[in-house]
Amino acid sequence: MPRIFAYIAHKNGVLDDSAAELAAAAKRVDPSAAPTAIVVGSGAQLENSCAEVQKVYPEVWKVSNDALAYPNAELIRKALLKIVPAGALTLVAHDHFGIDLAPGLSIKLNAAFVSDVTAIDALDGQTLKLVRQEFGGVVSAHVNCDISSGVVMTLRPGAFKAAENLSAPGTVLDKSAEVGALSSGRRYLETIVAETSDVDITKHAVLVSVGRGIQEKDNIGIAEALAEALGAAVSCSRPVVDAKWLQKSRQVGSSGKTVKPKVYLACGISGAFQHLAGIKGNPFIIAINKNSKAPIFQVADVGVVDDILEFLPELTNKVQELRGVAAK
Amino acid sequence: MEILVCVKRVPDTSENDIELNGAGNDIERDDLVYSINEPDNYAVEEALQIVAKVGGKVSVVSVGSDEDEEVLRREMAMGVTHGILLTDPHFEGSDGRGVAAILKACVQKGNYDLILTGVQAEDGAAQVGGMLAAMLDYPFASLVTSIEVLGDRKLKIAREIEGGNREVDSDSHLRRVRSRTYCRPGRIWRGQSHSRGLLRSRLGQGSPHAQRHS
Repeated sequence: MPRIFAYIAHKNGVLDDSAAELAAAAKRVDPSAAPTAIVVGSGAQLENSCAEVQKVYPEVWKVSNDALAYPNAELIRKALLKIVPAGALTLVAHDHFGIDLAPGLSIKLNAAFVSDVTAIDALDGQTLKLVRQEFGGVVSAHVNCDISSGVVMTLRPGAFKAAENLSAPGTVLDKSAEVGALSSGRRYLETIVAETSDVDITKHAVLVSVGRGIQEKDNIGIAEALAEALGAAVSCSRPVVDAKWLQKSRQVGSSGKTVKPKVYLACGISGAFQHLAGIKGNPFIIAINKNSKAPIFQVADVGVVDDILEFLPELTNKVQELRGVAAK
Repeated sequence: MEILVCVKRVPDTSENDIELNGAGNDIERDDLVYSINEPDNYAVEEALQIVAKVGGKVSVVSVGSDEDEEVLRREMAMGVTHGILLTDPHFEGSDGRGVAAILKACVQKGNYDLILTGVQAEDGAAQVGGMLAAMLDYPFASLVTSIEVLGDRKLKIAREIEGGNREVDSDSHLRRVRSRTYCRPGRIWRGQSHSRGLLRSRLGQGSPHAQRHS
């Protein structure tokens, strides 16, 4: 059985949700495995994170280095190459950091690489059977991965249910000396926090969210009319921001805001996982999309296959009627 | 500054209904509308904006077949100087690592200061950029939203991180960046008095790790 390692993402001494998810994924590969968590950073925050990781992993490798105070994938890749053995299975969360770290890591480790894994089916000798999605989630692909020289895998956040805490905490080993000094051409300067605007979509109980299906900036008014009738706010998916039809502060998703509304209307939104990752708290989801195969319908409570440009105005009229407001 | 942008021709997900084929080992490819992978287009646009400011030229490269020529020519019409099509029967069925190995050979034939790719292909895995950088031992950054060329062979880049925030890094010049710019391609049509040559390259050797995932 190859050794399984999990790279732990953490910030300010708090673990990312993915930490426990990677532990669960390790168990899917090999139920008898004792996966090793790798935690890098510096100072008190690193100590706090290690204490948390110990609750979930039987073995924790700590790498403390001032250069790693901010997670720089170039440096971390170098650090991992000093300690991860050949032939290992290395698990990383598929997020902005994993995307930066993992592909290059697989080349340097001379291991196979699979990204954005959503399910692990079985390990059959040296063949790991996995599932990943393609084409924005419309199809899933079964992948057979030859792991005879190891594998680096990024796992989709939220796809694996978090592992339970261990009955006894794991041990922490300090691997800082083995890693030694680190340097790279890339230097972190600062973090610029996302701009805020007058509307904070994270504070609304009802959201009317628009995607590519709105087709043009001028059509956003149709969504605004419905939002006004419902007492809701307008939010959106990424393509709408990229096209500059709405501000970034309205974007729901892994690279935008995380929202916890009670009701979420997904209008002309395909339902790519990066968007869904921004919706928490299990709201009542109504999806309207003219493509009956859109992945959003897999998560919607109510689905309407229709063109939003026709449906939304009708819905607005109905809402206004029910509220006793004169239809415009 | 010499910039190389790696581009891919992919099925256009907004124009097609994606269905599984009869054998269940690929999507049904008949009658699909193909176009340039949108993030790659942003990368070309970014490259053109950089050379507009600091001088230099942009080349595009694609690993594929004759059908990919139209994508390269379209980028050249936007102002790209050289289009390179890497085609060989041995390349077929290459996985991400295979494609990265092919691109590496192409990079080594040139003299590029900066290599850009789109963040991910519609049908891809967000892997070729990172792999190519590691194979070349070039510095790498993904999810880049802006690039500023500073003096003395340095770049200042912004990367997208969680919550819509951005991380700003500085980097030494010779590097590989995966670009994912927010700007929609503007209509920049540089005057072209004649169409530039399209360089067709047969690199000969097969790719080392060609292994089709089903």
